[in-house]
Amino acid sequence: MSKQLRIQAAMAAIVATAMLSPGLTHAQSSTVVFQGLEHTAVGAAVLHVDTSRNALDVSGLGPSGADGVVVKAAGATSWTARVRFDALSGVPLRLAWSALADGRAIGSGVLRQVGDRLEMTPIFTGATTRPTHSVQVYNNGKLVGASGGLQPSSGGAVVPWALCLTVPEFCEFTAEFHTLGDGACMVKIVTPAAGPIRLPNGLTLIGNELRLVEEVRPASHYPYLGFDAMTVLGDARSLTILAESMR
Amino acid sequence: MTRRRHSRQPGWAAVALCVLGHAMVLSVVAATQAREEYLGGDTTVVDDGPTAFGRALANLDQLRWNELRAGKERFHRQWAQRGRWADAGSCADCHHHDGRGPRPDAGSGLAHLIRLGHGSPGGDPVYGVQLRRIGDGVPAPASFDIHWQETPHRYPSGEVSTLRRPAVKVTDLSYGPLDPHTRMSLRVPPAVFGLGLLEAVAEDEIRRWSDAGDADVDGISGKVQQVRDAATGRVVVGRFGWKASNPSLAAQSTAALLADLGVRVADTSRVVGRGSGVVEWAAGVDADAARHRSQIDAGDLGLLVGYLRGLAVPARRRWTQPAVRQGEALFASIGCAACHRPQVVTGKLPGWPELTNQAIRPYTDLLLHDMGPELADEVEEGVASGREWRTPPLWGLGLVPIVSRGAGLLHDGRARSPEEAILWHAGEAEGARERFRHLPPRQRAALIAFLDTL
Repeated sequence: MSKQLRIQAAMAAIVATAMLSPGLTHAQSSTVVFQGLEHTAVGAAVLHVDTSRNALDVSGLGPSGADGVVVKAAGATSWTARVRFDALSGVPLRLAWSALADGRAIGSGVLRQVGDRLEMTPIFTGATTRPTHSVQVYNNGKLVGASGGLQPSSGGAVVPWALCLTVPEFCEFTAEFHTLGDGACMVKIVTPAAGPIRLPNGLTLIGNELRLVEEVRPASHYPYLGFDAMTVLGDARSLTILAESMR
Repeated sequence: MTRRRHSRQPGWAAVALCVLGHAMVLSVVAATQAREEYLGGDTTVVDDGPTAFGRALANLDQLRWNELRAGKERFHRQWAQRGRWADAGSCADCHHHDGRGPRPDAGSGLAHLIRLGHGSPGGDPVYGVQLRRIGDGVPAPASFDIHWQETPHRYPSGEVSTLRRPAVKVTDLSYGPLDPHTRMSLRVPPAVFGLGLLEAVAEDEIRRWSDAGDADVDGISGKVQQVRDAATGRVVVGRFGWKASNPSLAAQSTAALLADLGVRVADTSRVVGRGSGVVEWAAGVDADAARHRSQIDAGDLGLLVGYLRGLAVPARRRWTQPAVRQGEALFASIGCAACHRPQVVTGKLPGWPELTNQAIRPYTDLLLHDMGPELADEVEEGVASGREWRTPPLWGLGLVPIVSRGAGLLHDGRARSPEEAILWHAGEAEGARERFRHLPPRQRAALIAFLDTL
C-alpha cells in the first residue's frame, strides 16, 4: 500500500472513529484485563482486547497527548511492553510511558517527533534539584557507548525511526521501565533492528537498545522501592500493545 | 598616562571592594534568612508535594543509601512474624507517605488506635496496652467507632467556628469486658520524618528547658519524661510518642512493632525497658509463644531505625511574606513559642554526623505539659499524667493536608485545622490560647499563615 493510500485509510478511520466515538467510549468497557494485567482507559481512549491477535488495541487518542491507558501494578519494579503505534495522525507524534508511585510520576520515557526525527527523553522526579541521567546505547545486549551527567535540558537521544513516520510497520518497539537495585529509575526502548542513535553530546552509535538511567545522588532523594501503576499516553492515532509483562 | 591609570586604580578597587562588600553583606543576610527556611538545618529538603516527608536527608552520606532503602522496605513490609493481635500489617499502613495516618482511601480503620491505660504496667489485664482490631487465627479483640460531636465556638470579636471532639464506642469485645480500671486513649499515628534530629537533641538541653515547678511563674511548667534506658539501666529523657514514653527511636520502633503490628523484636526488654507497659505486655505474649511464631532480629530493627533517622524535614514555603512575618512575631509574643520552641542546636548522635550539631527549628521543647481537662485521656505513661502531653513538633505542619490528606491534628485527630487545634489548647497553654482568641481576625489569620509555612 502506498503512503498516500495509507494516509487516506488513516483519515477514513479517524472520521469513522470520530463518528462513533461518543457512543463507543462509554459503551465499551473502560477497564480490561490483558495478559493478566488490569488496564483502564485514560481520557478519550477506548480499549479493546483482540484475542485472535493477542493484542490490546488502544484507540481514540486525541491530539492532546493525554489519552491512553493506565496499567495497574502493586509494588512492581519492572514493566515491559511491545508496542506498535500508528503515527499517521497529522500531528507530531508524542508517546510517553510513566511509572506512578506515591501519588506522582516517578519516571517517564517520552518519545516525540522533532521534525523528521524521533527524540527520546526521560523525566525523573526522585531528586529535588538538578536531576541528571545517563544515556546508554546497547547493541544486542552489548554496551556500545554511554554519556552521563546529562541535565533535563540536554536534549534527547535521537532514535533511528524516521522511517516509522512514513511506514507504520517500522513503528514498533519494546518499551520498558525499571526500578533498579539502587532505586534509580530506568526507561528503555529496544528496536527490532540496530540503527544509528545520536546521543545528546553529538556522538552517533549503532545499536538497537537505548537506556536512559536516572543518576541517584542519595542526598534529598526519594527512596522509591517500586511503582503502583504505569501509564502509556500519546497522540498517536492508535496504539497496540502486543505483549506485556510486569514484575 | 601610566601614573594616571595607576592613580585611578585604587578608586576602582575601592568601588569593587565596596560592591564586593555589599554583595558579601547581602549574601550573609541571604544566608541568615535561608537558615530560617531550613527547618532541619543542613538536612532540610525542598519538596512541597506528597513525597515531602519521605526524602533522604539533604546531607546524607551516600554510603547510607542502600541501608535507607532496605529500611524503607522493612517499613513497608507486611511482617509474617505476626502475633495473635494487631492493628495493622506494616508501619506504612498507618504512616502513609511517612506522614500522619493511612492512605486517604484506606478507610477510617487505620486512622486511629486506642491505647489502654491502667493503674498497673501492661495495660488492661486481658487486652494489654492497646485495643487491637485484627486477630490472626483468633477472634479480633474488638472494634470501635468514632462519632464526632461538634460544638460552636465564638471569638470575642464575634466570628463563629466549630470545634469537634470524638466520642468512641467500643463494640465486639471478644474476650470479655475491659477491666473497670482500664482507661482508653484515642490516638492518631504521627508523621515519622525529622525524628533523627529530635533524637540528636542533647538530654541536657531538654532538662535545661524544663521548669516542672514553674519557678519562673510564667504559667508554663514543662516536665521531663523520665524513663529507664533498658540497655544501661540509667534514667534518661523520654522524647518519642504522644507522652514521650520512649527515649530512643529503637525503643519507639520496638514498642510500635509490638503494640501496633504484634511483631516482637528479639530482646524487647533490652530495647524498651520496663515501666512503659510494653515489656510487661510482651511477657504475656511470650507466655503465648506458640501463637507468637517468631521475632524479628536486631538487624531489621536497626534498618528501621536507620530509615527513620534518614528522613528529612521539608523546607518552609512563602516564609518571607509580610503576613507570615507578622504571624511569626505573634507566635512568639502571645506565648506559643514558650512550649513550641523554635530553635535548638542538636547534640551528637553517635554514628550520625549528618544529624549532629544541626541548627534546627522543630517548634517543640520535647517536654510534657498539662493541656487541660478537655484533652485529658486519664492515661498515665511514665511521669506523664492523664492531662499531660509532649509538645509535638510543628515542622511540616503546612504540608500535612498535602501528604496526609484528611488527617486531623492533636493526639486524637480532632482538630481539622491548626486554628481548631489552638482553640483546644488549655491548661498551661490557656493563656496563649486566650491571647490568640482576642487577636483581631487579620492577626489570627497572619499567625495561621505562619503555621502554614512550616
